[in-house]
This record gives sequence, structure tokens and C-alpha cells, in this order.
Amino acid sequence: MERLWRVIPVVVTAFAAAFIGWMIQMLRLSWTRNDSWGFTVTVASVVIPIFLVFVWLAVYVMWGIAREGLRENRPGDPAPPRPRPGGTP
Amino acid sequence: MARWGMVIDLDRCTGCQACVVTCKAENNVPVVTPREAQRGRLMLWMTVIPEVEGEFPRVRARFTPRPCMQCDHPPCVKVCPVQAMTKSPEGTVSHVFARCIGCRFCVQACPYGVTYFNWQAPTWPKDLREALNPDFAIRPTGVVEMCDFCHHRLQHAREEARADGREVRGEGEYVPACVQACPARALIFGDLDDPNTAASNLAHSPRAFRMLEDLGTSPKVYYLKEG
Amino acid sequence: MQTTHPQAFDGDDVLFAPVLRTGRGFYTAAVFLLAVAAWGAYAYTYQLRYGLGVTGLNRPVAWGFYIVNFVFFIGISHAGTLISAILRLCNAEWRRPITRAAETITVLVLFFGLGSIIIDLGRPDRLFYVMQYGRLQSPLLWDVTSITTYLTASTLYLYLPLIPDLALLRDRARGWRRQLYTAISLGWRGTPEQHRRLERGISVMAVLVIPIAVSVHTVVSWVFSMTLQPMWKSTIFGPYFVTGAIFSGMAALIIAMAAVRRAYHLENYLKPVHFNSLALLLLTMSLLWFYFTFAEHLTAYYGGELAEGAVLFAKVTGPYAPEFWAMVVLNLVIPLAIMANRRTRTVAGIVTASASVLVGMWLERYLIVVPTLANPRLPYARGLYSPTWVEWSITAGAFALFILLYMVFTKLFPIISIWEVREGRERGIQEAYERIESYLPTPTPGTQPSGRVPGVGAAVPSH
Repeated sequence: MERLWRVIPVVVTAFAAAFIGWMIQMLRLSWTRNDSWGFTVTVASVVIPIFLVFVWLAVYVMWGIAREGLRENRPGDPAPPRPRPGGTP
Repeated sequence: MARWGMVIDLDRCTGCQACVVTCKAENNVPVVTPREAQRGRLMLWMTVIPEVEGEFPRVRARFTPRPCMQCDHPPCVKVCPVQAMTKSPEGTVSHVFARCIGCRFCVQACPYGVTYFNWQAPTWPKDLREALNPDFAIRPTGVVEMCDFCHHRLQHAREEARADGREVRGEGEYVPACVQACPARALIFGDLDDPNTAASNLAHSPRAFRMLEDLGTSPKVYYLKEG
Repeated sequence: MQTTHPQAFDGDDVLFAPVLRTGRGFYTAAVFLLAVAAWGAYAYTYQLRYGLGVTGLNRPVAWGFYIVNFVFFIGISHAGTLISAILRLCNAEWRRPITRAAETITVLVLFFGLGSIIIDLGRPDRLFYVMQYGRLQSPLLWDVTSITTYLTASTLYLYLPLIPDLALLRDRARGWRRQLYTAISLGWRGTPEQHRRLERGISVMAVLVIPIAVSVHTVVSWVFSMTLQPMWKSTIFGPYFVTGAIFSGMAALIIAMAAVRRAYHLENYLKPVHFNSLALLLLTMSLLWFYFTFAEHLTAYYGGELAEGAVLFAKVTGPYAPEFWAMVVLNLVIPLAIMANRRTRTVAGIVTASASVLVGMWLERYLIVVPTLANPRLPYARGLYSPTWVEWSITAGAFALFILLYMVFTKLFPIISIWEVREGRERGIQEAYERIESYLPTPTPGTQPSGRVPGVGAAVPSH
């Protein structure tokens, strides 16, 4: 199960890469066909940075949290959840 | 390069609808049942709009043939998400049926309403089915179609001209089916950039106007006002 | 403050209860909704087999219910992420129990927005052509781009604040649920480093999501206003659509909150004060919506252009008049009558007003799409539109499936953000006092000393 912690950020990054790839494909088409280059560049240059932020989110936040979850306990860490009286429903 | 355009002399149009019938036969436009036609599914790439003006006894009927306006700034081409609607270097707007995803954005964008959607699989009565034009593809259900100035006829003319080692002549060699069929010679077709063609001369006549000219679509179909 | 609420940890049991226990009522509702959704799916396969001809669409009304649903669903999506992000950025403390419910609406309903476009396509089998041959001059692709961005952002924005709650559930659940929560809680242990990264992620997303959300509905409106059609070609369509979107989204949020409150006994978390605050926002949006509607129609009337006039009078006095005036009553008169009055602004009253707004806003989308198409610029090819059973079934199926997915979500994840409510108890109260104090003029030396006001801590309601 712990392996899946890595899968989620990888999936997010892969999706962002696919989307950016699509944008590049449309830029390429627009260039080769000489078709509405201005629109294509404008939209792509707005959207690609947003997806780079999602990549940052996957790497810094998600991967970072998962890495913290895997490392050894350190003094000062919160105690593991205490068992609840009466057991779990 | 030629810039093909059409001039429609409203003074000559008798409203006989020969252009409408020829267009349907030439381009294999599907036939719908009267019930479907009542529901607004009639498909006529070329149509004649009848208008009745005035009250009795001063009534007059007016007929306006309406092909695709073949705009120089076509709104349908702009909005197509997959480049199915395209404008050729010669300025003719045509539609690639095999590419169309059926979103019908071009139908909304066209202020003239010349784009038609295939609501159902195309059907023809048996004898019409046998008379389908082999030069032109049949469209599947779920795609848009529209007049493209009989592009397949241009291809024929071009092949013949190429065999002689020359360009297609600006007049006479390539005409859409509706122009060929008009018994009143109300439709005139030719290269608008060639000053020697009748079409380009008539397009500059003081009687000439274009439909919804103020929208800025710059159609290549000119009308000649009734005198 | 932590010591003031020693029982806080166990006090939130009612929030875990829906996830850990499921009653008969849930299954009854789920089976019913599934049946409606299945009927909608059957209608769609029927449409796939026989083409769009089985719908009531025609020439000139080539866009109908599906596009109306598309605009409506995308509008509903503004309930969540946008409202939640704005409230988070404004430090509105009352947001804590409602953000999750709102964000869930966004993520789920966006799939139905995108789905509506696909249902509307004549050739859904060629959908991949949009990837292969896409061209960004088409406003339809602006839509695809911005909705995909919004969907990704909203999903991440829903997921990030969910991580600590998933860890709480992981420590309580058993069996496959435990496996699931372990897998998707990213090993959350609540270390300071994890908190720091999570909170940075959330605050970046809260800022980023607002322009994305505004852009989404602006772009939806541009699908219409980029054309030359009368009463579509309007410069205010962008803000008009965004306003309508937030308006309908809030109404959907209020109804969803009332439903989970009733079903899962969350009266102690979703209090009348939350409904009251949302009702005041809804009231504001209602007036703003009316302002835009009025401006839009008055300019068309006064200019008196023939093509616009045809559409306008079709709406106001013509064949669409019943829908038009119903829209005005449902979107303005009823919400105003109920919510402007303190006595009727009860939870029941607010929910009634919200239901009225939802219906009214659907009608508004309908009245934007259909009358313009039915009255094109050239006066031939006029037509009316009456949907067939296929459109009704697919629409009903979409709504049923949305409600079902929302219900299933509440069964898998806590619909109220537990850790954020706790954070509110532990940190929020203190922060709010300090913030309010910082608004006030600094006391001159010699008078009342600054710091906590004596006795304030005792006024805090204990749980």
C-alpha cells in the first residue's frame, strides 16, 4: 500500500505532461498549417505554466508528504494515534 | 490564383428551383420524409427563399437563391475545433466530412444558416439511390455538410487543364451544378479577380450587393438588385 | 486552547459515522437513482444507434438540452472551488464545515459538464480528433482547455485538504477501507514538515483556482458570444455567466448541505448561521444576476435592432414568455421574498429559495441557448424546439447519477473536513480574536492593557 503513495504524484505529473504535450502538438499544428498562431500561443502560454504549478504540487507537496511518511520516527514527531477506548466501530 | 465567386441576378430568377434539384442530385444530398422535413430536418445546400412583400393588390413575390456565401472571412472556419471546415488557398470554403466530430458549432456560427447536420443516416428512395453521383462521397450520420461550390467539379476541370499544361480558365471550364442548370441564366460563376469574366464585371455593377454585408464576413456570392 | 476541549477528538464521531456505517435509506435511494441513471444510459445508447435525429433538435435549433445542461452543470461547479477558495483566502471562519461539501460538488459536476458536450456530439467516436487535430482558435477548445485545467485544479484542491482526514480514517477503518485510506493518505502523520508542505500547497491552490474558475465560465459564455448571432454577441456575457454560475452554484451548495445535514444528523456542524451567511451571499448574487439580466435585455430592447428584437420578443412576449417570466419569478421574486425577510430566512426557507434558484437558473440557460437559435438573423428557417423523451431521459439520468455519486462520496470520505473543524477549535478562535483586536485602534499607554480580553475565553461555547 505504501508503494501507492508514490503513484499518486506520478499520476498527477504524467497527466500534466500529457496535457502540456497536447498543447505542444497544437502549437506544432498551428505552426505547420499557418493557422491561428496568435490564439494558439496565447492559450498555450497561459495554460502551460498552470500545469507546471500542478507538477510542483505533485513533487513538493505530495511527494514531500509521502517521503515524510516513510522516514524513521524522530524525536518531536506527534505520537502515533492512540487506540480509542471501546475499539473501532 | 483564381478567386471563385458567384453572381445571382435577382431580376432573372424565376423561382423555378432547378438549382435546388440539381444541387441535391449532384452532391448526393440526403432526402428526408415529409414528416422529418416538417421537423426542420430538410437538407438543401442550395435553396430558394421565397418572400412575399406588400398587401393585396400591391403584392410582389421575390425569390432569393441561397448557396453557401463562401465568405472571405468565414465564421464557420474560425470556430471549427478540428479544422474540418477549411478555406482553400483559392478562398473556397469546404468541409471535410471524415474529420467532422459533429459539434455543430459551425451551424451556430454561420449567420446565413447554410450548414446542415445529418440528423439520421442518409436515405434515398430506391430510384434516386440508383442515380447517386459517383463523383461525390456520401456522408455518414452525425456530421455537418454544406455547399462547397461543387469542389469535385473544380478538381475535374483542374485535371483537364493540367493535361493541357495550363491553369483552369476563369470562366466556362468550371461551374457548379446549380449554375449549369439555371434556365434563366440568373446564376453567373467565375473568377472574381479576373477582370475579363462576366462574374467579376457584374460583381462591380452598381446593382451588386452581398447578403448581411455589414457583418464583415465578405461573401463571394453577389446579388444583383431587382431593377 | 487544546486543553479547553479534551473531548474534541472523540466529539467528532458523528462526522465519521456516515463513512463507517450505512443505513437502509442510503441503499433505497441509491437503487432508485441508479435506475434513473440506467434509463438515461439506455436513452444514450438509443441515440448513439439512431443518430441525433431521435432528439428534438432541428434546423435552426441545433443545440438544445445537452448544451443547456452543459452550461448549467459548469455553472453549478462554481459552487465549490470558487466559494471555498474565496472564503479560505478571506479567513472566513464559518467556511470550515462547508468547504468539503462545496469542493465535492465542483469535481463531480464537472464530469457531467464535459459529458454533456460528448453526448451532444454527432460523432463521439471521433472525439480523439480533438487531441489529434485540435486548433485553439475554436472557442470550443478554449472550453476543453479551461475545463480540463479547472477539473485538475479542483480535484487537487479537493484532495489536498482531504489527506489529514484520510489519515484519521485510516486509523479507524478496517478491511478494504483501511487499505484504501492507507494507500491514498500519502503516509500522513501530521509532522510539522508535512503540515508546512500541505498548507503551502493549499494556499497556492486557493489563489490559483479563483482565476481558473472565473475563466471557465467566461469561456463557456464565449462559445456563444464569439458568434454573430443576435443576443449572443454580447460583451457582458462573460461576467453575466460567471454571476449566474456562482448564483446557481451557491443554491446547489445550500441544498447539498441541507441534505447531508438531514441525512447524517450534522445539525451541530452545519448550523443555521452557516445557512444564514450563505443566504445573504445568495441574495446578493440574486440581485447581481437581475442587474445583468436587466442590462442585457434593456440594451436589446432600446436599440431596436430587428434581429435582436425578434429574439427579445420571442422571450418576453412570444413562445418563450412562460419560461422567461417563470425565470424572473424563480430567480428574483421568490429568493428576494424569502431571504430578505429575517423571519422567513430559516433553513427551510433558504433551501426553498435555493431550489427555486436552481430551477430558475436552468431556465435561464435554456433561454440563452434556444430563443436565439430559433430566431436566426435571416428571417427564413424559423423554428421551435421541443425535446423528445431521449433528451428528458438523458437529462434526468445525468442529474440522478450526479446525486448518486455525491452520496457515494459521502460514504467514502467525510463530507465535513474534520481536521479543519478541529483546527478551528484549536487555532481559529484564538486567531479570530487576535485579528479583530488588530482591527481596533491600539490603546494608548495607561489605559486598558492589550492582550486577551478577560472573560472572553469563557464565552467560547464548549463542545
